[in-house]
Amino acid sequence: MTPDPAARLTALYERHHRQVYAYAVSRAGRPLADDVVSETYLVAWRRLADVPAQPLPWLLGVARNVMHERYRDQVRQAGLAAEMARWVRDAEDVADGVTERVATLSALAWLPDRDREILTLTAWHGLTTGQAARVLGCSRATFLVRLHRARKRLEQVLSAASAVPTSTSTRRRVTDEQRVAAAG
Amino acid sequence: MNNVSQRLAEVRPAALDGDPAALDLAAITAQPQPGPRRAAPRRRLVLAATAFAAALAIAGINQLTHPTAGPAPEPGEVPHAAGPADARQLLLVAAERTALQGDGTDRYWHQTSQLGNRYDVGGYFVLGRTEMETWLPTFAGGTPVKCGTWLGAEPASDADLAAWQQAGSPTSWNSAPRNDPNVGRPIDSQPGARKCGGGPAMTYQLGGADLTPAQLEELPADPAALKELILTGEAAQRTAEGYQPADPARYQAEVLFSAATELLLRLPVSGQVRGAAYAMLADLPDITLVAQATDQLGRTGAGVEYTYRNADGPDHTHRLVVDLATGAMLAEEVREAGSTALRHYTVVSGTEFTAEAPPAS
Repeated sequence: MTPDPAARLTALYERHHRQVYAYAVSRAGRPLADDVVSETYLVAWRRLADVPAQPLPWLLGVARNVMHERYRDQVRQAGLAAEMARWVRDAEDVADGVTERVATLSALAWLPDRDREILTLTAWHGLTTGQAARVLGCSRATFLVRLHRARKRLEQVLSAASAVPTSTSTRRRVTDEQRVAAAG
Repeated sequence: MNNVSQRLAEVRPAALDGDPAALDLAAITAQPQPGPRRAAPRRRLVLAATAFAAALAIAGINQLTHPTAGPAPEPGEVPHAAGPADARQLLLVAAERTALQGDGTDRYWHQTSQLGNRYDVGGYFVLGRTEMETWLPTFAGGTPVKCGTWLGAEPASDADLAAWQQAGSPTSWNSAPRNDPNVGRPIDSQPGARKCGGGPAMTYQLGGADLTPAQLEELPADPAALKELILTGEAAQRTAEGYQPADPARYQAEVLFSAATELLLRLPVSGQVRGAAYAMLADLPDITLVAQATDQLGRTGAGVEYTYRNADGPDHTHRLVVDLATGAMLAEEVREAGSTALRHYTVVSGTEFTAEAPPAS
């Protein structure tokens, strides 16, 4: 639509970079996120002709590939684990009505990374199931099946956690090391 | 939406909406476009907290100078001892004064500013500064020219100074926590060389809408009309993205505060439109006044504060420093809510409309 490629990239950046950043934070943690955004837009520049009319799922798909290709999976997972530990700590720091928040974030941290990815794509990044499927490069039907399974597993972890007597000193204390081990 | 999805949506971390570092798009678009379906190079792009601070980090470390106090505030910058009674009145004074300056018909908006950003270097913070000089076009097809000079970095506070000394007084850092050399960007204590670049033809962001220079020039000088235009543009954008704010009134105030800051601090608009932006600010709820504020260059003015909130409560506080004598916006400072530590700031030391921009070299 826009004849000038640089202007087109600028528009893509201004419209979507915060969403790409949010996705990168949710998949690799804050310290890596800026780098992921930067690499994603470099790829977008080099493949500008491939960017579809609805660019966000495409951009997130590129960001996803960037993370997989650029970082050893261990590095990304460790970054994400540290990030999740911070979320849990932040939730603990807010005094009232946080038990459920802490429990949900902790449960999410315990899930396999694949499940976490599927659950957060729709819940946190405002994507429809069709768009989320495009990010993962699978069909919508496949995505729905995976989403269903991931939800089941999250429910299991949540109910298992709520069966544990609530002792804030043990259950809520989550260290970075434990998170790294859990995600590892 | 089932229960699990709902529950997940409710715990979406605020960190996802944090501050991404500004990307140096000029550095990206300077790369050749090989056409579709070629693998991206594995080049690590230089990133910066602020545009064009990007390419400025330099090697060559000698010593770290201890932070020196800023120059003393210049006397007489706040004209009247008995200043305006509240933020609203103050902003209306600024609106009147700023409307007298500049009609915006010259071709470039030339601005000199300094940007500061606090970096977590693992265990403590350093404050890095960049001096910027920009020429923003006010006509279609014009390209911006931006020059930046990295001014160096130093421990951000006394506590950080102590932590820095305990860490062996390093003269360069990595912006990532725990100094993992694989991530983050290098930060040098020493200043770097001035670097200039020309960007792509630009559109200007206001309240979520992309405006061309022509549209920017047509912005209304009437505060109510300006407000409506910003909110309409933002609503269109939001509807396209399917986003519904939980608290529309507060959300609207945040949109308007952000837009007014852009108009007053960064966009090439006429004095009349600046005046309208001040008047629009004056009518926002929850604006507070700091009778006398000193910016990072040691200049005093009146401070106007607004605190953004997220789902968990107050998040960060923006302070605008206004020179009451001229109506000029001197600075924007951002702090964690309830903290005195600066997260980042912009100080503007000079603005004018000029006929020409220098060639980008």
